[in-house]
Amino acid sequence: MLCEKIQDRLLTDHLDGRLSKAEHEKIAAHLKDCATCREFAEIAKTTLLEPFAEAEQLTPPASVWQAVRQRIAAEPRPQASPLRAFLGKLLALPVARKPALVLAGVVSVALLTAILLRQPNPCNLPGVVNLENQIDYVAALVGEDDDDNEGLETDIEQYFL
Amino acid sequence: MPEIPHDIITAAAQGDAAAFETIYRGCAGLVYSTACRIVNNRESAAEVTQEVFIAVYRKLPSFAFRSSFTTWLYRISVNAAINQARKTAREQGGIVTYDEQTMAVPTMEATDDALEREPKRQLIARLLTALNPDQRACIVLRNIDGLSYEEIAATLEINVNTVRSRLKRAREKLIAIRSREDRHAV
Repeated sequence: MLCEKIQDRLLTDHLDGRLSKAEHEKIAAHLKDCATCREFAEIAKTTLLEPFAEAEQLTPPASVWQAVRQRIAAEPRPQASPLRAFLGKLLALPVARKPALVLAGVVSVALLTAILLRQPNPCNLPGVVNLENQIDYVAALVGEDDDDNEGLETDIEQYFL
Repeated sequence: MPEIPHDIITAAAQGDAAAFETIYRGCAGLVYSTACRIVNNRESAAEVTQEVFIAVYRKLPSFAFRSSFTTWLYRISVNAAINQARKTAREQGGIVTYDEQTMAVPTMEATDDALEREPKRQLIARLLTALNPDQRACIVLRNIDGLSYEEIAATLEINVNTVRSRLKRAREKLIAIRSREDRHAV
């Protein structure tokens, strides 16, 4: 039963290098003691990996592109929505290929917006209100003088008039 | 896997013929090779490749970059090839014969190198014949194209355990075939 389980793993995760270090050590220990599984592991390697190792990429005949080109020339021109085009351009930016950076950017903008929205209006601060009262008071004092001058009744004015 | 720049994909999606040709030149080998190994026949693989690129041209405007372009292209290619392989198997009454020339690259002159590679090509062809289209797709994506289990799962839209189980069954068959061949050779 143990050999059966080991051979299942040999055919998949072991062959494809997906075992954790602990699992790998466990299987290595079993292979050391079990000649049957050791032979099975060797057959798996030579039968399942080696024949495919040198498989090369094939090139389609030129007629395929000619046929594709003719067919798409007869097709209506594809229309991407402006939003999708924008998304494509956005994702083309180097920074967009690093999800952690994008996430950090979005979180930063959201936090900054929240902080700014929670700030009280500077015009309503007590210090500012007090200052405005003082300005009004001074203006009122100055305003009284102005009122006095409105009548153009100073000595100099009367001299020129 | 070939990586196509985003701006090329976006331009092709907006109808830029030169951008679309760039995609074809960059990915046609991958699509054709995968199709050849899944459908068993060069002519069928050429037809599948043509249909895949027509489908890509039509679907590009709706490609939303939710997966990588190559994964998306693989998905279209492998599904088209599996469908073609099943159709062929049905037409042949379940008897699948492998075109031994499938793996041969047509060249003007047969070089020593090409002749040396021929037995290996035929061995791959023979091994893949024994598998059903789903198992064949998993073996091609894993052993030849080098995709991880997760990438195969995303391409075939199945879970990772199904990938593992298909690989296991396919590999058991391959070992059985090689053992039988070795016994006959003795």
